[in-house]
Amino acid sequence: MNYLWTIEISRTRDAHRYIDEKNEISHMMKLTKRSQIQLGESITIIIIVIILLVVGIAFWSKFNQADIKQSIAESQDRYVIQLAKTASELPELRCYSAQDVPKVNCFDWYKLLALNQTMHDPLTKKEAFDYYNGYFENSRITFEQLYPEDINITVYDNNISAQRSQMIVIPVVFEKSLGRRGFMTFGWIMVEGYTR
Amino acid sequence: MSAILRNRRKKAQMEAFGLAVIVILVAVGLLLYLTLRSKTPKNEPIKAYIPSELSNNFVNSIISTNVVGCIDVEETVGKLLAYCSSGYNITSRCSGQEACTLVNRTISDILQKSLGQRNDAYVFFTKNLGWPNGGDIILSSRGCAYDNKHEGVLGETVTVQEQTYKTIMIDIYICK
Repeated sequence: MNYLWTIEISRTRDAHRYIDEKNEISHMMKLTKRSQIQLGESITIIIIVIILLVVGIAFWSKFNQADIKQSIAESQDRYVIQLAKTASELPELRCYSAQDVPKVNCFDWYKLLALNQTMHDPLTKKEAFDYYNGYFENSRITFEQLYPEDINITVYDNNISAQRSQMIVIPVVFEKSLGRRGFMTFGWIMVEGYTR
Repeated sequence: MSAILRNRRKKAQMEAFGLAVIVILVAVGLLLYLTLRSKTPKNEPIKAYIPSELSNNFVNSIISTNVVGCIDVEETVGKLLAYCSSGYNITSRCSGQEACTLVNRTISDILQKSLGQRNDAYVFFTKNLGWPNGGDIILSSRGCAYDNKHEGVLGETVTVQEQTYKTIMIDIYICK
């Protein structure tokens, strides 16, 4: 009898242990499922954050590139403006009054012709070009008389293969001194700045 | 049990909603930045420099230009404008041409050879000239006018004084 009682107790214990184990497994499975869901959520958030970051970086780099291009174009513009100012203030080409005062917007036509000859004479052209290269670098400076007749004098041309060129024209008068009388003709200085 | 489940579902919905709000905020911020950026005008120094340099130097140069067709080579556009204003007769010295007609033709010729060749839109005008035919010289191209409708750059006004100390104002407006 006692033996039978012992067996019964043992069976009950087994049954309880079985139920406990089953409960534990079910609980574990629930936990695993919740973890999987949480992991999925985390991965989704990470993916979205990464997408946002990538989109942000792409936009930023594109705008940054545009900003760099814009600042390069601006500095090139300023370079051509500087060239134009230099060309319009060349003291060796200006005309002067009897009191040695430079006349407004006036260039001496014969000084221009002399410079043009110096720039094209095989004996002097290298030295003259090197001198003006320090001022005008990559550019072309042309003096054009428009009235009464059209006459062009290109005094400086650094013929380089350019990607971009900007041109500024400055209206001037050219003085053609005929003895004591000066005849003024209308024209302009064309300053072309080449940039690679 | 169902209350716990409902709570969890609500929490998950709130999380998703929060994420959506963040994404929307980022998108709105980006759009705002793009709109502001596109509205900011580009800085192009040369585009501002060219018309101002042209207009400021043009009138100064044109009034000291000598006119072709007169015996006296020292007749400049400025002097002819003064003669035109005062009614001074120069026909005997300038191949039978009136000062006003000659100066108008000369200015028109110079404008066409210079700004006209570049396809610039401009209006060259005088004030207080008193030309018997029409008061003042107004030469314009491509419909340019000096008013609020046409954006452009006005040059420095140059004045010429004639014998009776009447002042003639000369200017050019270059439209953009």
